[in-house]
Formats: sequence, structure tokens, C-alpha cells
Amino acid sequence: MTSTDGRPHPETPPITPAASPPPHVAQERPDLSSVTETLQAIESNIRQVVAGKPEVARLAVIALLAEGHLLIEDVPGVGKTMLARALARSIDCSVSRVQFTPDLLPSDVTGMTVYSQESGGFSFRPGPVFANIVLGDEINRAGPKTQSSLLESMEERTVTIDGTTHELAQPFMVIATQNPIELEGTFALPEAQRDRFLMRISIGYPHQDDELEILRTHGRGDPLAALDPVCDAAAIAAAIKLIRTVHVSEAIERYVIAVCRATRSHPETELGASPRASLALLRASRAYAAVLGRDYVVPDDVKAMAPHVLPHRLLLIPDAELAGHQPADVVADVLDGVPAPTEPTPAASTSSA
Amino acid sequence: MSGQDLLRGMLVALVVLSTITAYDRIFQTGDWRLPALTAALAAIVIAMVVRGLGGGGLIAALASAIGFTALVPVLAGIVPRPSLPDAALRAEVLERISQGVVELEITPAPAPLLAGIVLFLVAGFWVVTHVAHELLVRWSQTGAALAVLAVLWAVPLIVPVSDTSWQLRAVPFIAAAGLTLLLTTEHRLPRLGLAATGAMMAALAIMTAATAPGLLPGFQSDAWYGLGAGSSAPRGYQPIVDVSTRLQQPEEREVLRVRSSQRTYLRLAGLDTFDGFTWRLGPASDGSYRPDPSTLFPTQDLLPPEVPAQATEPVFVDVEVLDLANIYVPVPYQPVQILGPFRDEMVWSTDGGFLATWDTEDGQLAQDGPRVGVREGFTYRVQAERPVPTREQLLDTQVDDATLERFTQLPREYPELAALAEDIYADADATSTIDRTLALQEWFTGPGGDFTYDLEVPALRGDDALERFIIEDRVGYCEYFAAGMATMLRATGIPARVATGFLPGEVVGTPDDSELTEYSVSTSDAHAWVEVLFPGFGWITFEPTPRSDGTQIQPRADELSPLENERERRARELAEDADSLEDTPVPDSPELDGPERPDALEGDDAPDAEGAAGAGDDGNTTTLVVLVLLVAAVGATVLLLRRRDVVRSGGDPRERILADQQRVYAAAARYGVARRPNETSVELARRWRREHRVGRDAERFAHITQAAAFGGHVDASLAEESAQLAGELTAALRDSVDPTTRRTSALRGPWLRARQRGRDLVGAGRD
Repeated sequence: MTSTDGRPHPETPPITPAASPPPHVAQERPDLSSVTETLQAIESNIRQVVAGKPEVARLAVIALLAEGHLLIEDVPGVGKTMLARALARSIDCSVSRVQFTPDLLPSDVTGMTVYSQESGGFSFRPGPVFANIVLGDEINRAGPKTQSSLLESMEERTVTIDGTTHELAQPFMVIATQNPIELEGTFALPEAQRDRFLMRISIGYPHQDDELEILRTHGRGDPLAALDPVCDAAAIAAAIKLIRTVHVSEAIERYVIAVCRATRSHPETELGASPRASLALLRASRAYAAVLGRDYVVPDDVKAMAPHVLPHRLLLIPDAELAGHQPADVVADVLDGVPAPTEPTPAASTSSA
Repeated sequence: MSGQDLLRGMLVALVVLSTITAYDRIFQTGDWRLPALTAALAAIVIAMVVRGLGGGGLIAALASAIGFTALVPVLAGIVPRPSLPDAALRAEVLERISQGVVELEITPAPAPLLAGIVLFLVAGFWVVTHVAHELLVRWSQTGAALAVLAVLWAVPLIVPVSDTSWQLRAVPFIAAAGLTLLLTTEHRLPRLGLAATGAMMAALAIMTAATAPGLLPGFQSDAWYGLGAGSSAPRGYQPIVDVSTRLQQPEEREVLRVRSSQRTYLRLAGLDTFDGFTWRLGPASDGSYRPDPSTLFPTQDLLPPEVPAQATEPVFVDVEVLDLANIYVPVPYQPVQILGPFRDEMVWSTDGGFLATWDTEDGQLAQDGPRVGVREGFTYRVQAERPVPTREQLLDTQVDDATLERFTQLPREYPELAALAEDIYADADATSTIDRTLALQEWFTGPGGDFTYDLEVPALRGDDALERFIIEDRVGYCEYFAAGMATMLRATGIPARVATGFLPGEVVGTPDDSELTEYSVSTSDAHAWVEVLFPGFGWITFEPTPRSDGTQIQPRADELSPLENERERRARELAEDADSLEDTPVPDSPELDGPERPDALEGDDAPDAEGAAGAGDDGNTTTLVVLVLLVAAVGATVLLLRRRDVVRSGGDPRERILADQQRVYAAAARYGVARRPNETSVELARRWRREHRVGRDAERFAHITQAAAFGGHVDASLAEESAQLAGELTAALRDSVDPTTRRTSALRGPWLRARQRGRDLVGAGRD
């Protein structure tokens, strides 16, 4: 919903002077200029191939920096795969791609132990999951068993095969796409699995002018081929580390919790946002603040991220679904209802000293 | 102790000080200030110290109570130094309280600082100040604190006094209260924009002050009756009280300037009723005195005599009132004709024989009774017929039964006094009324009674006070002597009453263009004496008071209406003795004792009086200095706090920015464009912009406040910017709403707060 409504995302520019830290913020102030630069480079790269969707490009980067996985859900042909590949291409890191089909086996994803005639012994052959960025195309076409093998590795960032645990690369990000309208021969992701994606985004049809541009750029050949990596895995890992230091005040924590709790008590939800959702929302907000060059989270960050982080985790009651309500509506409703903090301690009394 | 506490404590002191003008109007001198303001200061200091040490409200109250017990008796002059409360002190205090109740009832304002009143005053100042301090400093209840202080301020204002300058009385208090409001609104020092609330309250206070005089009974209209209608407390003007109060004034001031053809007593009224405590006008049972209209006569014509008199000689007196607020007009007895521009304001009463000021309409008496008409600049000329009978003429006068009955009434039997009087008559071998009266007068003034004249004596209290005075103590002043002699006369069947007024005063010169002698009459000339009725010759003056300064005129058997006063007479007799007889005067004879006594007493008294007057002046100056210092201290504290504010904000401007945000939001709420709860600061700024209320700066402000709120870096320059932006933003919001909303916005703030508190309460209850 968010990317198609045409409304600009609230962008909060940084507050200028960054000389000495205020006394009550204990940790070192991160210098976020590198993060911002990296982000802008990746964004401009992506924009070369996905025309007219800057916010989608940004969300993808945020998911990466927030150590999350991205689920792109949209109709075929709007550039899901192109977005994923452009992101992967922009970073000088290992990329693998898995085309999910009904007959795909878990070992096709994670890898397997094979007998080598040359060495005369068994050796582990890593699957496509052993890469920094894993593109899982049409993830809902694979059977549940294969899906869950991927999803488990997403959560634990390790793969266990034949009793041996293998660490995955750092950073590790799964970008999965799925097609919502093709029902035949698909295995919809269960809610529990969807929860493992940091955010779900949709791309939406491009604007008329953008579509024209697509025709032209793609007409000249594969635009991806022209993309050069703008940073490497180490830079991303450093950025992720920096983002963990972005300051979150108590008021923001309380606000995040209040939003998530509100989804649980909303009359139209059967299943609300889990504590994992709260964590995800906060991580996304941190990354969002960081890519804007801000070293602290404001309520606007939470509000900007919630529509991407929360809806795919909600399960509506049948009545609401029948009435045509979407989880995104519930999230919007919740954001309208939860008081946003404007002061460090929202519950502080206003009485005079 | 925080600076805020200090500031607020000083504000309480300032408001208390601002009541000075209000209390000044009900006291004759500034003497009340020292004990009352010391009490207030002590109460504040104790409360501040407890607060500074972190003590709670209960501890503060306890500490204050201990201080109260220790200091109030000292300040009220009951004990010389703080002492543990014992039975004696308690009895003394209880007696002081009952005395104070009586004094409050019978003393007309402006009053002297009487012993009982000072106790009430000190205690009241202490308690009110403590309560106000606790309300303002401990509980931040500015309104309640000011209400308590307003009571303190209003008490003297509802006492009826002829006084037209209520504005002057009101302005200091309103100013101090307004300052308090200004400096205590919210919990931070206000910036200019926040002055609105204070200004609003001040306007309200001024409005109240402007309308209250019309609404409050007795305020600014001179009540003949007391405030409490139907109350039995005698509230009318009883001139006898004036005598004692004037005499007790430490600083002597000139009240009348008189040009007179002869030395003469200036009489206010004849008090014909004794209620057991005081001699007063009118029946003892009445709360206040109202003469029978049939005995009242306008002064346009010749005045009918109170008692027809033969053997009189004319007296001409020009009187200019310098400093006397009264309803009774001082005149020589008995007046025949009044001239002068103010004569239409006067009325002559043949009951009591007094001239009073009364409102008249077209020469007719108005219904509302007399008022304080004698005032500065009040001038009149009196022609009077002074009774000058000889002793022989008075020997065979007869009083008819009804008159005798009326003027020998006493509230009870005085057998001891009657017996004593009979003894005196027997000793003097006096049988006629005039001889007996002269004998009694001689007993009071001569060595027979051995009385001492002294102003510093307790008020006559208790049922047997008069007996105590005459038989045991024998110390008092004119009122005591007049009351004692009149009572003894009545007890022995002689029609007598107490007259009150002024001694002739001091000769200041003889103007060339006039045959009249100019006299200066001061507060120390206030006097009371005895009049005895001799039908056909009028009420004849007798003088029982052995006044130490010898300015009284004492009738003698050979000269019942002398013109020389006692001092002159003694000097003359002394000279005559020395000249003609060449006798060494007997050392302990009264004639010799006389001239020495006044001198000695004058030697004692004069420096005292001067010292007191000096102290009074010093007191005024001191009060002024203290007031100025306090204002300066408040100002300095404000500045200091502001600077500290700035300094602090240099280290942590966060608080300041957040306060700016609060202010902007509060203003927005007042103007009806409040932040919705779900809106973030930035969203709010954007909405305001969409609604064309504010410019781009609003978002900048929102970003700054968010940085301050959520852990971003902020510094002093950013705080400065936020303060400026907040001001601009508030102004922009104000301009963006329609004028009606703007005007009612001052009321909307408190209303919104109250509503929010109500909701919080309901919410808390529900939880």
C-alpha cells in the first residue's frame, strides 16, 4: 500500500551541529556520513533499473542495513526481480539466486554432502543460501518443506546439514519475491514464516513517464549489465554495526511497544504483532533514521516503518477480510490511535515543580 | 533551597508588605508595623528554613507553631523576651484576648495600637503569612495563596473610616499580587508572551477593587452603624474612646488651630450614661447611639440652649481643623451661634449638648445620620455663652426629680464609693451641691486622694475597676478621674456627667489684626472632665484630673470659671507668696509640688515623646527602605534565575527547547489548533503548514524539539533558535485564528487543563 499511494514518505533531515554529545547519551555518537553515502550510492544504482520507485529502493536498503530480510510481493512484471538483482549487484558481495519451483528440494537450497571420487571422501557442497544476498524468486511456488529450510536459515543465520552446523555469510539477506494472484500451484507462506521477513513491500505499477523510461532503458539492452558495485560486504557490515548504535530513547521504545500492542487489541485482528515484530519495527526505524543521517530515532521513523514492517504479520478476523479490509488498514488505524510522543518521557507528569 | 523557593518567599513578603497602606488607614500611627511585619517575616523565615531543610508541610506547621508560641507574646508586648508558656503567660494571653475583643468592638478607626489589638494583629499576620507561604511555595497554589493574603488585605478595608483614597490603598496590593502571579505562572519564569495570564488576573483584581467599594457595606461610606446589623456591639462613635486614644498617641500632632477671645475648653459632647465600663452617649442598652430627632436643631438659626443659663459671658472662637476626623465638633460650652461655610453640615443636639456633623438636604436633616464631617480644612466660628456663676448663686439651686433621676443613674450600686464620697464631704464640711463637688474635686487633685497622673495604665476593666482605681490604684489619666468623680457624684445624688473634648491648648501668638488669641490644640490636649448640672446656670465644668503639665483649668470656690490654668495659677500664687509673705514655702505642699512635677515629668516625657516620634518617622523610612530593598531583591532574584537559566541551558539546552515546545503546544491548544495526540511534532508542523497557519520554520522547530526529546544533539545556539522560533510560531498561530478565539484563549488554557485533569482522574479511576 505504501509505495503506491503516491504520498511522499516523511523524511526528517538531520539536525545540524554534531559537535559534543549531550551528557545523558552514554555511547559514542556514530558518524553516519558513511552510511548515508553508501545508501545514496546504492539507491541511485537501483534507480537506474527500477524507474520512479525511489522509496522502494530505499526500503530495500533499509532492510539490508537492519539485518532483515525482504519480501517483495507484487504482480508479475513490475520489477520485483529486477529490484532484487539491482540491490545485489550494487554491492560487491556474493549473490546467489534460487528459482523456487514445486519440485525444489531443501538440499537444493542449503547444499548437501556429496561423495568425491577424487578425494575419496564426502565433502560438503554449499547451496545457494551460502551467499551474502540470496534471491528467492517466487518463493511461494516451492513446497512447505523447502520453504521452511530457507526460512530457518534466515532466522538462525546458520545451516545444519548432517549434524554439522555451517555459519552463513555476513551480511546475510534474503530477498524473496512472491506472486499474490497466481493461486494455482502455489504454497502461500504461513504467517509464522512471514514473520521472519523484516518487511514486505510491493512495488506497484510505474507512473506513465516512468514506464516510458523503462521502455527506453530496457530497449537498449540489459540495464543491470551497466551497474557497477558501489560498496562491498565489509562496508555494509560496518554500516550495520554503526546502525546498532543509533540512539533510541525510552519514549520511542514505549511508542513502538504501544503500536504493536495496539495491533493485538485491535478488534479486526485475530493475530497481532509479536514481540519479534516490535524488535523488527525498532530495527527498521533505527536503520531508517540512520539512512537519513540522524543518530537518534524519532516517532516519525516508527510511523514511516510500521506500514512496511507490520502488516504482513497480522492476521485479520474473517469478518474483516470479508469486508475487504487489509492488514495495512489496521496498521494505519493503529497509528492514528496511538498517541505519539513529543517529549523524552511521555508519561511524565506535567505538574509544575 | 532553590531559587524559586526564595523568590516565592520574597513574593509573599512583598504582598504582605503591600498591605501596609491598608492597615495604615485603621491605625493612627505606624507603630503597628514593627510587630506585625516582624511576625510575618518570622513566619516566612521559619517556613523557608523548614522548606530548605526538606521538611514536610506538617513539620513546617509545627515549627511555625513553636515559633508562634515563643515570639507572638513578645511581639505583642506581653512578655519582654521569649519564654516557655506557663500558666501566668496563658492567663495573661487570655486576658489580652478578651481585652482585644472589647477593644475591637469599641475602638473606632483610626485606632491607636492597643494592647489587645496588637495581639490579634501579630497573630493574624503570622498565621496568614505562614499559610500563604506554604500554599505558594510548597503547593504552588498561587491563587489560593493570594486569596489568603487578600483576606489579610481586605480586613482593614472593611472597617469604616472616612477615607477616599482607596486606590492608593489598593494599588500596592494589586501590584504585588500581580507580580506574584506573573512570576509564579507555570513553573518556569515566564517570557514575555506568558505575561498575558498575569495581566488578565491583574485586570480582574483591579475590576474587583473598583467594584468592591460599592458592594461592600461600610467601605468608603461612613457607617454610623457597625457592619453587623443587629449586632449588639457598640459600634457608634463614642467620643470617650477618642480621648484615651488621642492621649496615647506617641507623636503629638496639632489637631486644631483656635483663635479665641478667652481661654476655653473645647467640648465635644457630654456623656450622660455610665454602663459600668465607660461613659457614653445614649442609653447603655443601645448598640449605637441615635439621638431623638426632636432634640436636634439645624445650625442656621440661633441654637437653643441645652439648659437655660443666666450669668454668662460671651466667648468668640474661630476654629480651623488641622488633623481631626470626627463627627463631633469641638466648641466652647454652650454655643449660641455657628458661622462659617460648613455650618450647614452641622446639627446641634440639646441631648448631651453637642454639635455634630450631619448630612443635610435643603437645610433639613438627612436620614442617614451623622458622618465624619470634621476634617482637615473644616473651619467655623462659634459664639458661645460661658456660664460664669458665683458659688453663692449656685448654693440654692434645685433640680427637679425627673432630671435628678436621669442624671444620677448608675448601672449598679457603688456603696464603697458613695461612702468614701460622704466621708470626703464630711471632712470638708460640705453640705451644698457646689461645696460637695468642689470638695470632691479637691480630693482628686489635691493631697487628699494622692492620685498620680499617668497615661501608661491598663484600660479600666472588670466590674470593680472603678473601685480599684479610686480606692487602691489611684493612678490614671483624665478619663479615669472624670469617670470616677462623676460616678461618685451620682452615687451621692448629684447630677453629673463626663464631658469630653480638648484643653484650651498652647498660646502661639496674638495676631495683630485681631483681638483673639491664637491657640494650638494638639492630640495631647484631648481631655475628659466632669460637668455638674445647676438648673438656671447650666452644666458647670469641674476638673478632677491632676494633670502633670498643668494646662487644665480648675474651678475654685472663689472663681468657678477661671481663665488661667493650673500652671499659671501656681506660678502666680508662688510669686505672690514669695513677694508678699517672704515665707519659705512648705516643702511638701501641693502648691510647691505642682510646678516641679510637671517639669520633672516633662523632662521625662518630652524625650520619650520625641523618641517615639523619631521612631515613628524612622519606622516609616525603614518600611519604605525595606519595601524598596525587597522589590530590588525580587528583581535581582528574577535576573539571577534567568541568568542561571541561560547558563544551565548552555550546558543542557534540552530542557529549554522542550519548554519552548510545551509553550507552543499550550498556546496552540488555547487557540484551538492543538496537536492531536497521534501526531508527531513534525506531522503537526506539516498540518499547520497545510492549513496555512505557519511557515517552513515550523518544521525546523519540530526537528529541533525532536532532537531535544529523543536524544539528538542540541546546544545553546539551537536553544536560542528554538526560543526565537517558538515565539514566531506562537505569533503566527495567534494570527491564524479568528479574533474571538484569540480573545477567549486566555480562558481556554485553564479550561483545557481542567478538562484534561478531569479526564486523567476518570482514567485513573477506571484503571
